[in-house]
Amino acid sequence: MKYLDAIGQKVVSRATAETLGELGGLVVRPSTVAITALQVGTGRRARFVDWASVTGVGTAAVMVDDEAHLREPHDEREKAMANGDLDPIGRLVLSTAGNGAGTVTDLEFDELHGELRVLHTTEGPVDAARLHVIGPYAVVVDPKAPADAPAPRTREVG
Amino acid sequence: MENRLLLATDIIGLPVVTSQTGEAIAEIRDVVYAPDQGRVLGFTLNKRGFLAGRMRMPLAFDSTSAIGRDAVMVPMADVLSSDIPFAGDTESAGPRNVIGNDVLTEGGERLGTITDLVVASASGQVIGYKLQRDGGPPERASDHLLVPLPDTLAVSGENLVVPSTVMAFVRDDLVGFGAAVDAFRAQLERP
Repeated sequence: MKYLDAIGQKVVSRATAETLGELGGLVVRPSTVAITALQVGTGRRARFVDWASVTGVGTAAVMVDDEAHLREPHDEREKAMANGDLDPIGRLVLSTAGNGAGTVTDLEFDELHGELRVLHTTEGPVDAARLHVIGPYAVVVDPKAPADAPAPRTREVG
Repeated sequence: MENRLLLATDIIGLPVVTSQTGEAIAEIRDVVYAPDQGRVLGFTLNKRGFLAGRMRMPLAFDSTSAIGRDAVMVPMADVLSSDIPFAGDTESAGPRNVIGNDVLTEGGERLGTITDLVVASASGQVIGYKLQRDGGPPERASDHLLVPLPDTLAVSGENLVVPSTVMAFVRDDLVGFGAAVDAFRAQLERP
Protein backbone atom coordinates (compact mmCIF):
# COMPACT_ATOMS: atom_id res chain seq x y z
CA MET A 1 0.00 0.00 0.00
CA LYS A 2 1.15 3.52 -0.75
CA TYR A 3 1.79 5.77 2.24
CA LEU A 4 -0.08 8.69 0.69
CA ASP A 5 -3.13 6.47 0.12
CA ALA A 6 -3.10 5.40 3.76
CA ILE A 7 -2.49 8.76 5.42
CA GLY A 8 -5.74 10.42 6.42
CA GLN A 9 -7.70 7.17 6.49
CA LYS A 10 -9.98 6.86 9.48
CA VAL A 11 -8.78 4.70 12.35
CA VAL A 12 -11.61 2.61 13.78
CA SER A 13 -11.92 0.55 16.95
CA ARG A 14 -12.89 -3.01 16.17
CA ALA A 15 -14.38 -3.36 19.66
CA THR A 16 -16.75 -0.36 19.51
CA ALA A 17 -16.80 0.55 15.79
CA GLU A 18 -16.03 4.12 16.79
CA THR A 19 -13.75 6.28 14.71
CA LEU A 20 -10.75 7.19 16.84
CA GLY A 21 -9.09 9.62 14.48
CA GLU A 22 -7.18 9.74 11.23
CA LEU A 23 -3.95 7.97 10.37
CA GLY A 24 -1.17 10.53 10.79
CA GLY A 25 1.97 8.50 10.15
CA LEU A 26 3.94 5.29 10.40
CA VAL A 27 6.55 4.77 13.10
CA VAL A 28 9.49 2.96 11.52
CA ARG A 29 12.21 1.70 13.81
CA PRO A 30 15.61 3.16 12.76
CA SER A 31 17.90 0.75 10.87
CA THR A 32 14.99 -1.58 10.13
CA VAL A 33 12.02 -1.71 7.83
CA ALA A 34 9.66 -2.64 10.67
CA ILE A 35 6.62 -0.45 11.27
CA THR A 36 6.34 -0.54 15.04
CA ALA A 37 3.35 1.73 15.55
CA LEU A 38 0.86 4.01 13.83
CA GLN A 39 0.26 7.65 14.63
CA VAL A 40 -3.39 8.59 15.05
CA GLY A 41 -4.08 12.30 14.62
CA THR A 42 -1.49 15.04 14.59
CA GLY A 43 -0.09 17.70 16.88
CA ARG A 44 -0.79 17.77 20.59
CA ARG A 45 -3.73 15.42 20.26
CA ALA A 46 -1.74 12.76 18.43
CA ARG A 47 -1.82 9.29 19.93
CA PHE A 48 -0.01 6.13 18.94
CA VAL A 49 -1.02 2.51 18.67
CA ASP A 50 1.50 -0.30 18.56
CA TRP A 51 1.48 -2.43 15.42
CA ALA A 52 0.54 -5.48 17.50
CA SER A 53 -2.83 -3.84 18.18
CA VAL A 54 -3.54 -3.12 14.53
CA THR A 55 -5.91 -5.74 13.17
CA GLY A 56 -6.12 -4.55 9.59
CA VAL A 57 -5.14 -1.85 7.15
CA GLY A 58 -7.65 -1.73 4.35
CA THR A 59 -8.62 0.63 1.60
CA ALA A 60 -11.38 2.19 3.72
CA ALA A 61 -10.04 2.18 7.26
CA VAL A 62 -7.32 1.19 9.66
CA MET A 63 -8.72 -1.14 12.28
CA VAL A 64 -7.31 -1.37 15.79
CA ASP A 65 -8.50 -3.79 18.39
CA ASP A 66 -9.51 -1.34 21.12
CA GLU A 67 -9.35 2.36 21.91
CA ALA A 68 -7.65 1.45 25.19
CA HIS A 69 -4.52 0.65 23.22
CA LEU A 70 -4.08 4.22 22.04
CA ARG A 71 -1.22 5.74 23.98
CA GLU A 72 0.81 8.93 24.33
CA PRO A 73 4.06 9.27 22.39
CA HIS A 74 6.62 7.32 24.36
CA ASP A 75 9.89 8.86 23.13
CA GLU A 76 11.34 11.95 21.49
CA ARG A 77 11.04 10.38 18.09
CA GLU A 78 7.29 9.90 18.42
CA LYS A 79 6.91 13.44 19.80
CA ALA A 80 8.78 14.76 16.78
CA MET A 81 6.49 12.71 14.54
CA ALA A 82 3.41 14.14 16.22
CA ASN A 83 4.76 17.63 15.51
CA GLY A 84 5.20 16.76 11.84
CA ASP A 85 9.01 16.98 12.02
CA LEU A 86 9.55 13.50 10.58
CA ASP A 87 7.09 13.50 7.70
CA PRO A 88 9.05 11.63 5.01
CA ILE A 89 7.30 13.23 2.02
CA GLY A 90 9.51 15.83 0.38
CA ARG A 91 12.45 14.93 2.63
CA LEU A 92 15.96 14.87 1.15
CA VAL A 93 17.34 11.37 0.54
CA LEU A 94 20.98 11.24 1.60
CA SER A 95 23.30 8.25 1.33
CA THR A 96 25.67 7.41 4.16
CA ALA A 97 28.39 8.54 1.71
CA GLY A 98 26.98 12.05 1.98
CA ASN A 99 25.49 12.21 -1.51
CA GLY A 100 21.96 13.42 -2.16
CA ALA A 101 19.61 11.18 -4.13
CA GLY A 102 16.47 13.26 -4.67
CA THR A 103 13.53 13.67 -2.33
CA VAL A 104 10.89 11.24 -1.11
CA THR A 105 7.65 11.28 -3.07
CA ASP A 106 5.90 8.33 -1.42
CA LEU A 107 6.50 5.14 0.54
CA GLU A 108 5.20 1.68 -0.12
CA PHE A 109 4.58 -0.68 2.76
CA ASP A 110 3.36 -4.20 3.35
CA GLU A 111 0.16 -3.68 5.29
CA LEU A 112 -0.05 -7.34 6.30
CA HIS A 113 3.40 -7.66 7.85
CA GLY A 114 4.03 -4.08 8.89
CA GLU A 115 7.15 -3.52 6.84
CA LEU A 116 8.34 -0.78 4.56
CA ARG A 117 9.10 -2.07 1.09
CA VAL A 118 10.08 0.84 -1.13
CA LEU A 119 10.90 4.51 -0.87
CA HIS A 120 9.74 6.29 -3.99
CA THR A 121 11.93 9.28 -4.75
CA THR A 122 12.35 11.89 -7.44
CA GLU A 123 15.31 9.79 -8.66
CA GLY A 124 13.50 6.44 -8.71
CA PRO A 125 12.58 3.70 -6.24
CA VAL A 126 14.88 2.78 -3.35
CA ASP A 127 14.65 -0.62 -1.68
CA ALA A 128 13.63 -0.02 1.93
CA ALA A 129 16.30 -2.53 3.02
CA ARG A 130 18.77 0.32 2.44
CA LEU A 131 16.99 2.60 4.91
CA HIS A 132 18.91 3.82 7.97
CA VAL A 133 16.56 6.37 9.36
CA ILE A 134 13.85 8.86 8.50
CA GLY A 135 15.26 11.97 10.14
CA PRO A 136 14.28 15.61 10.50
CA TYR A 137 16.86 16.72 7.93
CA ALA A 138 17.18 13.71 5.68
CA VAL A 139 16.15 10.16 5.00
CA VAL A 140 19.48 8.36 5.29
CA VAL A 141 20.05 5.27 3.15
CA ASP A 142 22.94 2.99 2.30
CA PRO A 143 24.66 3.91 -0.96
CA LYS A 144 23.34 2.24 -4.05
CA ALA A 145 25.04 -1.10 -4.65
CA PRO A 146 26.70 -1.58 -8.06
CA ALA A 147 24.17 -4.23 -8.95
CA ASP A 148 21.12 -2.76 -7.28
CA ALA A 149 19.05 -5.91 -7.17
CA PRO A 150 16.44 -5.86 -4.42
CA ALA A 151 17.79 -7.79 -1.47
CA PRO A 152 15.88 -10.82 -0.27
CA ARG A 153 13.79 -9.86 2.70
CA THR A 154 14.64 -11.85 5.79
CA ARG A 155 13.96 -9.44 8.63
CA GLU A 156 11.38 -10.23 11.25
CA VAL A 157 8.73 -7.76 12.33
CA GLY A 158 8.82 -6.68 15.94
CA MET B 1 34.71 5.02 2.73
CA GLU B 2 34.20 6.29 -0.80
CA ASN B 3 37.28 8.21 -1.93
CA ARG B 4 36.87 11.27 -4.12
CA LEU B 5 38.93 14.33 -4.77
CA LEU B 6 37.29 17.54 -3.77
CA LEU B 7 38.19 21.14 -3.19
CA ALA B 8 38.25 22.44 0.37
CA THR B 9 35.93 25.28 -0.61
CA ASP B 10 33.36 22.71 -1.76
CA ILE B 11 33.22 21.33 1.79
CA ILE B 12 32.58 24.71 3.39
CA GLY B 13 28.88 25.20 3.96
CA LEU B 14 27.97 21.51 3.83
CA PRO B 15 25.63 20.28 6.58
CA VAL B 16 26.98 17.79 9.12
CA VAL B 17 24.40 14.98 9.26
CA THR B 18 24.22 12.02 11.63
CA SER B 19 23.51 8.70 9.95
CA GLN B 20 21.96 7.48 13.21
CA THR B 21 19.18 10.10 13.41
CA GLY B 22 19.14 11.92 10.07
CA GLU B 23 19.60 15.27 11.83
CA ALA B 24 21.73 18.12 10.55
CA ILE B 25 23.67 19.10 13.66
CA ALA B 26 25.96 21.78 12.23
CA GLU B 27 27.40 23.32 9.11
CA ILE B 28 31.05 23.33 8.01
CA ARG B 29 32.51 26.77 8.65
CA ASP B 30 36.14 26.18 7.74
CA VAL B 31 38.66 23.46 6.99
CA VAL B 32 41.48 23.03 9.49
CA TYR B 33 44.59 22.05 7.55
CA ALA B 34 48.03 21.16 8.88
CA PRO B 35 50.50 21.84 6.03
CA ASP B 36 53.30 20.10 7.90
CA GLN B 37 51.24 16.88 8.09
CA GLY B 38 49.77 17.26 4.62
CA ARG B 39 46.28 16.54 5.82
CA VAL B 40 43.02 17.99 7.01
CA LEU B 41 42.74 17.75 10.79
CA GLY B 42 39.08 18.63 10.93
CA PHE B 43 36.55 21.38 10.61
CA THR B 44 35.27 24.36 12.51
CA LEU B 45 31.50 24.56 12.56
CA ASN B 46 28.60 26.93 12.45
CA LYS B 47 25.22 26.37 14.01
CA ARG B 48 22.38 25.96 11.60
CA GLY B 49 19.19 27.95 11.29
CA PHE B 50 18.21 31.43 12.33
CA LEU B 51 20.61 31.50 15.25
CA ALA B 52 23.52 30.44 13.05
CA GLY B 53 26.82 31.37 14.59
CA ARG B 54 30.10 29.77 15.36
CA MET B 55 29.99 26.56 17.37
CA ARG B 56 32.49 26.13 20.15
CA MET B 57 33.18 22.47 19.37
CA PRO B 58 34.95 21.47 16.18
CA LEU B 59 34.73 18.19 14.29
CA ALA B 60 37.82 16.01 13.90
CA PHE B 61 38.32 14.55 10.43
CA ASP B 62 38.75 11.11 11.98
CA SER B 63 35.26 11.37 13.46
CA THR B 64 33.59 11.70 10.09
CA SER B 65 32.23 8.65 8.31
CA ALA B 66 32.04 10.23 4.83
CA ILE B 67 32.41 13.50 3.01
CA GLY B 68 30.01 13.59 0.12
CA ARG B 69 28.75 16.07 -2.45
CA ASP B 70 25.87 17.14 -0.23
CA ALA B 71 26.83 16.44 3.37
CA VAL B 72 29.55 15.53 5.82
CA MET B 73 28.32 12.37 7.55
CA VAL B 74 29.04 11.47 11.15
CA PRO B 75 27.79 8.42 13.05
CA MET B 76 26.16 10.40 15.85
CA ALA B 77 26.00 13.85 17.36
CA ASP B 78 28.37 13.16 20.25
CA VAL B 79 31.43 13.07 17.96
CA LEU B 80 31.61 16.85 18.30
CA SER B 81 34.07 17.48 21.09
CA SER B 82 36.29 20.19 22.46
CA ASP B 83 38.65 17.40 23.48
CA ILE B 84 40.51 17.18 20.15
CA PRO B 85 43.99 18.42 19.35
CA PHE B 86 43.17 21.55 17.38
CA ALA B 87 40.15 22.56 19.45
CA GLY B 88 41.94 25.40 21.17
CA ASP B 89 43.69 26.66 18.07
CA THR B 90 40.95 27.06 15.52
CA GLU B 91 41.48 30.80 15.12
CA SER B 92 44.91 30.36 13.67
CA ALA B 93 44.35 27.10 11.82
CA GLY B 94 42.65 26.62 8.50
CA PRO B 95 43.33 26.84 4.82
CA ARG B 96 43.76 30.59 5.04
CA ASN B 97 47.25 29.78 6.33
CA VAL B 98 48.25 28.81 2.82
CA ILE B 99 45.60 30.53 0.71
CA GLY B 100 47.35 33.40 -1.01
CA ASN B 101 50.80 31.86 -0.66
CA ASP B 102 53.09 31.90 -3.68
CA VAL B 103 54.12 28.57 -5.17
CA LEU B 104 57.72 28.47 -6.36
CA THR B 105 59.62 25.69 -8.05
CA GLU B 106 63.02 24.58 -6.78
CA GLY B 107 64.36 26.27 -9.90
CA GLY B 108 62.96 29.59 -8.72
CA GLU B 109 60.02 29.83 -11.13
CA ARG B 110 56.76 31.18 -9.76
CA LEU B 111 53.72 29.07 -10.70
CA GLY B 112 50.98 31.16 -9.13
CA THR B 113 49.04 31.79 -5.93
CA ILE B 114 47.20 29.16 -3.88
CA THR B 115 43.42 29.55 -4.01
CA ASP B 116 42.22 26.17 -2.77
CA LEU B 117 43.22 22.72 -1.49
CA VAL B 118 42.61 19.39 -3.23
CA VAL B 119 41.53 16.89 -0.57
CA ALA B 120 41.19 13.10 -0.78
CA SER B 121 37.84 12.59 0.94
CA ALA B 122 38.59 9.19 2.49
CA SER B 123 41.94 10.00 4.10
CA GLY B 124 41.82 13.77 4.49
CA GLN B 125 45.18 14.00 2.74
CA VAL B 126 45.77 17.23 0.87
CA ILE B 127 47.26 15.95 -2.36
CA GLY B 128 47.42 19.18 -4.30
CA TYR B 129 46.76 22.87 -4.45
CA LYS B 130 44.64 24.85 -6.81
CA LEU B 131 46.54 27.87 -8.05
CA GLN B 132 45.62 31.08 -9.74
CA ARG B 133 48.11 31.26 -12.57
CA ASP B 134 49.92 34.57 -12.62
CA GLY B 135 48.56 37.26 -14.88
CA GLY B 136 45.08 35.87 -15.63
CA PRO B 137 41.62 36.91 -14.49
CA PRO B 138 40.26 34.57 -11.77
CA GLU B 139 37.01 33.79 -13.61
CA ARG B 140 38.74 32.01 -16.49
CA ALA B 141 39.06 28.29 -15.67
CA SER B 142 42.10 27.94 -17.89
CA ASP B 143 43.94 30.31 -15.62
CA HIS B 144 43.69 27.84 -12.77
CA LEU B 145 46.17 25.04 -12.24
CA LEU B 146 46.03 21.96 -10.06
CA VAL B 147 49.49 21.23 -8.75
CA PRO B 148 50.32 17.85 -7.17
CA LEU B 149 52.07 17.92 -3.82
CA PRO B 150 54.88 15.61 -2.79
CA ASP B 151 54.39 13.64 0.42
CA THR B 152 56.48 16.23 2.21
CA LEU B 153 57.23 19.75 1.12
CA ALA B 154 58.73 22.99 2.30
CA VAL B 155 56.13 25.55 3.25
CA SER B 156 56.58 28.85 5.04
CA GLY B 157 54.14 31.60 5.91
CA GLU B 158 54.29 32.96 2.39
CA ASN B 159 55.86 30.48 -0.01
CA LEU B 160 55.51 26.86 -0.99
CA VAL B 161 58.40 25.21 -2.79
CA VAL B 162 57.76 22.27 -5.12
CA PRO B 163 60.15 20.22 -7.26
CA SER B 164 60.70 21.62 -10.75
CA THR B 165 59.52 18.31 -12.24
CA VAL B 166 55.99 19.05 -11.02
CA MET B 167 55.15 20.91 -14.24
CA ALA B 168 54.73 17.64 -16.15
CA PHE B 169 51.96 16.62 -13.73
CA VAL B 170 49.98 19.85 -13.52
CA ARG B 171 46.30 19.54 -14.53
CA ASP B 172 43.46 21.98 -14.94
CA ASP B 173 40.61 19.85 -13.55
CA LEU B 174 40.12 17.08 -11.01
CA VAL B 175 39.55 14.35 -13.62
CA GLY B 176 42.73 12.31 -13.66
CA PHE B 177 44.38 14.49 -11.05
CA GLY B 178 44.67 11.63 -8.54
CA ALA B 179 46.64 9.59 -11.09
CA ALA B 180 48.84 12.60 -11.80
CA VAL B 181 49.62 12.90 -8.08
CA ASP B 182 50.49 9.21 -7.86
CA ALA B 183 52.73 9.45 -10.92
CA PHE B 184 54.42 12.58 -9.58
CA ARG B 185 55.12 10.99 -6.20
CA ALA B 186 56.37 7.77 -7.80
CA GLN B 187 58.72 9.79 -9.95
CA LEU B 188 60.11 11.55 -6.86
CA GLU B 189 60.82 8.23 -5.19
CA ARG B 190 62.93 6.96 -8.07
CA PRO B 191 66.67 7.16 -7.38
